[in-house]
Amino acid sequence: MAARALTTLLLLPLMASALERLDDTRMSDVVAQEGVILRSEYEIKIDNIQYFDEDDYGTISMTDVNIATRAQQVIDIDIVSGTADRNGRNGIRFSNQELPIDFSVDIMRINGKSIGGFGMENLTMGGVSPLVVDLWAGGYDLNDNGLADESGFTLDITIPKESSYDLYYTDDGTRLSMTVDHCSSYSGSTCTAGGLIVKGMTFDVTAEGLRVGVPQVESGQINIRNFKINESVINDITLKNFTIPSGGYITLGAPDAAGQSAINFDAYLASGSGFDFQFFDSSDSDVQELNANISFSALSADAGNAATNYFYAKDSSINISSGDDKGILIALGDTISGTGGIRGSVSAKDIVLKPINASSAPVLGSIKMNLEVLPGSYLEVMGH
Amino acid sequence: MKFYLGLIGSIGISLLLQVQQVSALQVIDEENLRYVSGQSGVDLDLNFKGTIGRSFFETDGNSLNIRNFSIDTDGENDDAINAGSDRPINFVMDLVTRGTKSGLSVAITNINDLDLKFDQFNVNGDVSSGAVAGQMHSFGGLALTNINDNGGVTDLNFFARGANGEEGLQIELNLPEVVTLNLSYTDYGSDNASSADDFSFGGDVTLNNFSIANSVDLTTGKNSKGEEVGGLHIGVITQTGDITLSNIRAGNQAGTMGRLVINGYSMTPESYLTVQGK
Repeated sequence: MAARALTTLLLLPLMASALERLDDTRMSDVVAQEGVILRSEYEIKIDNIQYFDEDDYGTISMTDVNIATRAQQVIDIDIVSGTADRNGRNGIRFSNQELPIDFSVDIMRINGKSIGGFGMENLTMGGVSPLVVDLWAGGYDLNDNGLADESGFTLDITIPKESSYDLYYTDDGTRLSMTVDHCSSYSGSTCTAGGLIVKGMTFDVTAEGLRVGVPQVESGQINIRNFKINESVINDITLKNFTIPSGGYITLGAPDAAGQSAINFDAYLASGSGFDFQFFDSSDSDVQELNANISFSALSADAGNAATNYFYAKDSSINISSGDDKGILIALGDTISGTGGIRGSVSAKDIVLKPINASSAPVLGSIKMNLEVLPGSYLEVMGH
Repeated sequence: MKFYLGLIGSIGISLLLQVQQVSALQVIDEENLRYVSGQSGVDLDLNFKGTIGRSFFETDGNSLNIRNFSIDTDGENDDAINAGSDRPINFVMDLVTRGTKSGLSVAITNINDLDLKFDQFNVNGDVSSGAVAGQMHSFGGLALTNINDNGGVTDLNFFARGANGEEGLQIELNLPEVVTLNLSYTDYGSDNASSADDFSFGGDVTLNNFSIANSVDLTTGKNSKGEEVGGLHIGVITQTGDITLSNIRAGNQAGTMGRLVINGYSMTPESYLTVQGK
């Protein structure tokens, strides 16, 4: 303890030099509200991020990664007790009315071959309503007792209606770009409705690996505007009226055998998940829109069993194969055991083609596909 | 806003400090005393094994708790009671002057198997002393184990920023060329009496040539909107290094999920973080 006291004494003059006295006027600004505000500006540069498949040494790399604020970023942090849907839960709340962050990757490569660059620009929350991120203690309720008596994380995210950002992908100087926003109604140039609420995104570690709960989404809207290649405009897209029930999840794990390296995954989407799809052209006089309700559900043979009442991919894996003509190999199902693959039903209901301002139009029809993708199917993504 | 650091219910603390040399401290005009022989200063050997039962941050009656933060300076030799069986971490401390700045320089060596473990992070959860009683409102636990400097030297400097009327601290941390450690996040199940429902995610971390220099100051002022923007201001002077996470594992699988390498990380000077109360 003598040494600790000596160390403290040595540090005291240095610590004292950092302190400034608050005068009486400034003290009067201090109010009883508790919590922490973080203000920051930063630019993070990373020369190279590489992911290696440790048994085959294929690589994915991102070169010249840049994450930077355009202005001061202000985040409020509070420790909160849940109410309503989160009654009985406790967590940490992060909220901010602006998130002025840009993100860019100059070149992404697979096994050294470029697939282009990408990034996000002009992210804004609109400065009216805050982006609220609640990080609740406790993840998926594995023992199904309604209590947060198992550790892990649960995320609820409320995205304000005024938020928007630009995304882009570049390939040899050609640029695919779009603006994404969440507004569903305007009064003049002011957004009056919209936003997106994502609830119950859980994070846990299980015997099989990382378990990420697919969040529950009710309503909400995603608009893709200014969708274009260079200056050639592609029609706009809106996804709205989301219905994603709780219960879906993704598991990411390693292979069972020592010495092997891969990302094995199962993905389960709760039956009945869906959204309204709109594809429309508002940029010229030929103002038309294509509407449909897209939904994902279990095959009728699987729907009666709670364990299989999903649209799902099972026993699948991602490997990065090394070699000049190799890339990211997404294998659907396990070819050795002959299990897994993709099972489920996809439907596009009530397909309508109509002028944008028309209240109704004849229904063209509906499409439904029952999928059973067998083990041995794969998708390989390579650069060139 | 309250911040408490409680030393509650320690499982067993053994602190063996050998002050090998305590001489008159003297300001010298050298960047780092470890490169100079024959100067005065303080050498410390630290062998420590102990636990802080509960630390917590509280706002409006809600608390974020860290339960059982334990430190073991030599986890391999798990006996701090019998002096000599553990390998102590060596500290060489000097008061130094660099240009217009003066401060405390600490050179740290012989980090062989340092373990830092947090049994549990929770919000309004278990606040008992001693062993964690349950996993209500728990984020899980985190462990940084087998921290090894691989024979290198860690330089930690605290400078007063006294030049030109400036006040505040400048904190510099230069890690050795290679620092290795094991990182593990544990997600606990509800059965506190068994570890059968506890699973971990993590891997082996290697830090290469990591260097951090920050200014720490208390500031005041308002922005163009009239908002108070002052507070505890942490400014970036330099922040560079390489990070590798290998043998990424989750759950019970014997294989790995690959290796992630971040080369040439840097945070631009003049980046900052200001912490304010509301």
